[in-house]
Order: sequence, then structure tokens, then C-alpha cells
Amino acid sequence: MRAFFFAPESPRPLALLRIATGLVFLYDAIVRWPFAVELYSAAGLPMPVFPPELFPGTHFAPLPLAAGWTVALHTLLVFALVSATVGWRTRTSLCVAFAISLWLGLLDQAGTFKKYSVIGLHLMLLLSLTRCGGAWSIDALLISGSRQITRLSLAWPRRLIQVLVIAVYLGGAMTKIRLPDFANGDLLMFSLLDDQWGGGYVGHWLSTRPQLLILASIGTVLFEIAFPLLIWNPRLRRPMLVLAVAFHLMLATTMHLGIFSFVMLAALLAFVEERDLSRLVGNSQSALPKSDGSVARTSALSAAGWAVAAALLTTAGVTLHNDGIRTQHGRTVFDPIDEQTSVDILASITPAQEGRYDDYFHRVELGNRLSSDGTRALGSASSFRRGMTVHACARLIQNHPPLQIEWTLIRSDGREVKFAYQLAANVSHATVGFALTDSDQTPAGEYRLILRADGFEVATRGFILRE
Amino acid sequence: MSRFHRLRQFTAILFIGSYLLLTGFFLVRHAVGDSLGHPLGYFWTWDMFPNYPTESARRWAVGETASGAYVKLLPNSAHRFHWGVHGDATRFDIDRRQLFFRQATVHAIERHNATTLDDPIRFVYLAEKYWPEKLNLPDELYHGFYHDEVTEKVYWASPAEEGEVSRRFYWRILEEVDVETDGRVIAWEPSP
Repeated sequence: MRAFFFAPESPRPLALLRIATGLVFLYDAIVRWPFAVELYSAAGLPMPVFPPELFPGTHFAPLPLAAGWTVALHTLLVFALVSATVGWRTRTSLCVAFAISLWLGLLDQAGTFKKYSVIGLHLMLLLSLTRCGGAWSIDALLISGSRQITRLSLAWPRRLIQVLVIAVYLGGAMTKIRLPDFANGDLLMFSLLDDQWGGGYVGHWLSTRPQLLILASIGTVLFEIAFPLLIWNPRLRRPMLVLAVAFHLMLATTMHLGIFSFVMLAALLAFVEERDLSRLVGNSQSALPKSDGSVARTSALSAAGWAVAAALLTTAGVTLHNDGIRTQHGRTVFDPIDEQTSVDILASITPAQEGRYDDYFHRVELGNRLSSDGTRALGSASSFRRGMTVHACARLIQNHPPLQIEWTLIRSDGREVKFAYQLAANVSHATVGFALTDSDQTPAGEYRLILRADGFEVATRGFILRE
Repeated sequence: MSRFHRLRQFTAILFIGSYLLLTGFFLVRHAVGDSLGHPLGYFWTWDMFPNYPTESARRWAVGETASGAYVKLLPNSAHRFHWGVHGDATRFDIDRRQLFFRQATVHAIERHNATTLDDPIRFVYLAEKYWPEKLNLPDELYHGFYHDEVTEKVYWASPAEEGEVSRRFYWRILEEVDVETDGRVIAWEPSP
């Protein structure tokens, strides 16, 4: 245990983690910088993560500052992330980045503070407790001069980052396995279709492949459970890392999750070891940290330079920022609403009112068997043999009114068989089965199955019954 | 080992123990379905995708003026931050809590009435434009999956023939409120 947490080790893997973390959150900070006034300042509209009205007595809601101070703070955050990335006054930069990220993040849940922000805070805090600035950094250059000397770091902060990654995977797995709609692929399907966090074209394509969705859902949970267990096996460490990278790249391709995938890719660098880097970039000389007068003078000059640069950049940022600071007293434009739209809004137009009952239904499937949880119809949808049962399963959206469901089976001879029932508003599936056993009742030929809701046709499916 | 190093090691052990304890504590709570309702839990609970929407929605605050005209109070030109696959979702669409929607609406009323003294806002509706998520599919994927002959699938501006309404989204009113002549809102009422 002592060796696990307190063995001295090369700071190069941590440096890599530092650079990756810095770059990812630098991108995030730059993207939001133009909107700093709107998102975080008293002149805009902060949306605190823990507003006092909802979380009384918890004191997790920072006070929003005036526009100018907010922009200054955000600019300082950008500077701190740049300097952390390049390893200049690394510990100070990480602490400053952590503090400002926490302050600003807690002011805006909607646009800023997500779970990847929390992971980032953990990373910044833990990295600030390491010597991640001891390699591939300005700090290392200033201290060691031209010699390639890296100062050793203790293992425990990196171990805690590894614990963090494992906790994220286990927590994600636990969340998913408790949801029945995860196992049948519906959670993934609707998440991919979501226009806020969902997928681009690849994600949308995946959402139309039910079997792939189920496999992807199960595969995700298996990975999230397997990684925490197998990553500690020396032979499996690299394959698991490769698998994890592939998983997150696939996530980035199929879903719009902001910087989440890249934050996790950065965090996974905690499992990269010195021997991995030695293969790629060669060895480095390691030495215990030394202290003498020259190092102290260099450090003082570096600190002063850092402070001056921070002040200059912050001032420049406030000057350049043209969102809100100059226009906060400008006129806000309110668009008029045309008559038709206002009529529609006031009438609260629903799919039922428009006769578009099919918009309460996400999909209607046909098959010769039902899935074990009764939510999917499987097997051939177009051809059935004598003795089979034709199962139809409709998946409804969450917000639907109570509906009178009617399934109508039109036989090959034109006669109809109906089955109707009332579907409650909180029920998400409508199913029916028609046994095709009796040749008198169900002669061979072409059939149609029509689904109606409140008398309106929702879907029609055709199939052939063969003897 | 010097006293300083002993102290440093003790501090490290304390930090490691606390971190592991917090991680384990919240992981176990999450496992049994009892995520702590305290802000601290948010920093240690990894419950991404706890649920899913089946509709997409955009929120509007609609103001009715004294003259009977309707204006879109929210979102307005002051809300420039957008998110989403198409970059058109505002923070009111992302954060579904009514608290900020109302606060922003009150703010917007004040701004509107300050510049439109002769036609102030007298009534406000908090409304939601929504559509089933299946309509977010690109056309070719939608037709391939649903075998739908209908072409006016897309919720946003499908080109319409003159005189025809091309729309496949719907509206619901979440709340409504009277506004006093001085711009003060009375109690918010859920829409009947």
C-alpha cells in the first residue's frame, strides 16, 4: 500500500495529463469567454447550480460579480489554463484555474457546469498536488537549464485520479443498469435523437438500428464494469486503455457531449506509465529536487513574470470584450409574434388537435416473437408461417394523453378482426398478438395490420401468411 | 525523516483517506439509489444519463401587450449563448427548471416596458414548442426507418407552398401570469 501510493515516479505521465487537461479546458473556457457577461455576471442571467431558493443553507451559490470583474475573472481563467498547459508556475496556475472554474461554474448550470466540469475540477485539484510541472514545462526549463532533468513526484495524486476514473465508470454503470429502458436500447436511442446532447449523422443512423442499440447499450455497461477490474492487470492494462480510448472516441463521434469524451481521454492518461513513454520518447534523467540560491531567484522572477503577464492579459481581455460591458445598457430587441403563431400558442396545439396521432408513437414493429421484456417485436416482419403469432409492438413517447388503442387485422379475404383497449397516459408500450394457427380463421395470403389511436390511423403494416 | 516530511506525509495520508472515503460513500449511496440531496453529492456522484426525453422542446416567454400584440420576451437578443446539435438551443431549453425561466421573464418584462411605455406587457405565457424526437432524424434516415411517404417531416422551416402552413411541432403553455401596470408580475399560475 505504501509503495502503491508513495513510490516516487517520473512526472512525465503527469505532465502529459497536465497538458491534455489544460488544452481541453482551455478550449472550453475560450468558447465561453464571449458570453461571460451573459452567463456569469450580475448584468446577465446566471443560473446557479445550487440556488439558495432550492438549496437553503448550503452556501454553494457564489455571488455574481459586475460585468467587468466577471470578464476579468474569465480572462484570468484562460491565462491560468494556458500557463498550466505550458507548465509555467504550474501549481499556482492549476490552483487559480480550479478556483475560478469552480466559482464561474457554480453560477451557470445550464451552459457551463456539467459532470465533465466536475471531473475537470477533480483533475485540476489533484494535479496541483503533483509535480506535473516538473517535465515538459517552462518550470522545468527554468530550474534545470539546458539539462533534461525531471524531478520525481509521489504516486498518490495519480492514484487518486485513477480512482476518480474508476468511480466515473462504476457510477455510470450503476445509473444505467437501474433503468429498464437501457437494456432494451430505448434510452440510448432517444439520447441519440436528442437535439441537445444527441448525435450527428452517425448517432442518428445508429438510432435506427435496434439490434445495434441493444448491443451498444450492453457493451457500454460491460466496459464500464470491466475497466475498473481489469485495468490493474499488467497484461491487460494497455488493451483496456486502447479499449477505453476507442469507447470515448466512439462516444464523441455519435453524441454531442461537449468536451466530456476529451476530458475522459485526458483522465485516462493517469494510467499511462513511464515505461510507456520511454518507448515513445526515450528516457530522461531523474533527480531529487535540489534547492539553492539560483533556483530561488529564478522562481521569484518567474512568479513575478507570471503575475505581470496575468495582469496584462486580464486587462487586455476586459478591454477587448465587447459583450455586455459596452452593450449592457443597450436596447434588447424583442421579436414580434405573427398572428398564426400566437393563435397556435394560445390554443396549445397538440398532435391530437392536429389529427397527428402518429406523433405520439415513436415506432410500430411487427414480428413473430416478443422480446423477453415485451417491449420489442422480433423476427421477420413481412412473412409468417402457419402456427406463428404475429406480434405488434408500438413504442409511445412519454407525454401522451390516455388513448383508445385499436388494432385491426385485415385478413387476406378482406374480413377484419379488431382488438381495442384503453391505454393509460403513463404506459409507454402498446402490444397485441394474433395467433395464426387456425387456417379457417386466418387463411393464407396477404394481410394488413392497422393501428389506430382515438380513431385516427397511426400505422399500417403488411405481411404474408404462408402455409 | 524530518518533522516537515513527516507532517507532509501525514497530510497526504489524511487527504488520500478523505478522498477515498468520500468516493466510496457516494458510490455506495448511488448504488442503493439514495444519491444525497446535498450539493456535495453532485461532486462525487456519477449519474450521467439518469433519464431521457422523448420530445425536443424550445421555450418561449410570450408577452401580450396592452394593445393586444404579442411579443417574444424570451429568448431575445440578449441571449446569445446557444447549445445543441444545431446550435439553436438556449439555456432555457437546456435547464428545465422553471425558477430561471420566470426570473428571466420578469427581467425581460422590465426591459421591454422600460422602452415601450405606451404599450406595456399586461399578460405573459410561458410556452413550450415541442415535437417528437423522431423528427430530428435527417430526411433520408427518417424515410428509410418509417417508410413514410409524408415529406413534411422536418420541424423547422420546411419550405411551404404559398398559403400552406408547413409545420410539425406543437405548443403547450406551462404557466401564465398577469402583469401589473408597473411591470410587477402577480402569482404565476400553471396553465389549466
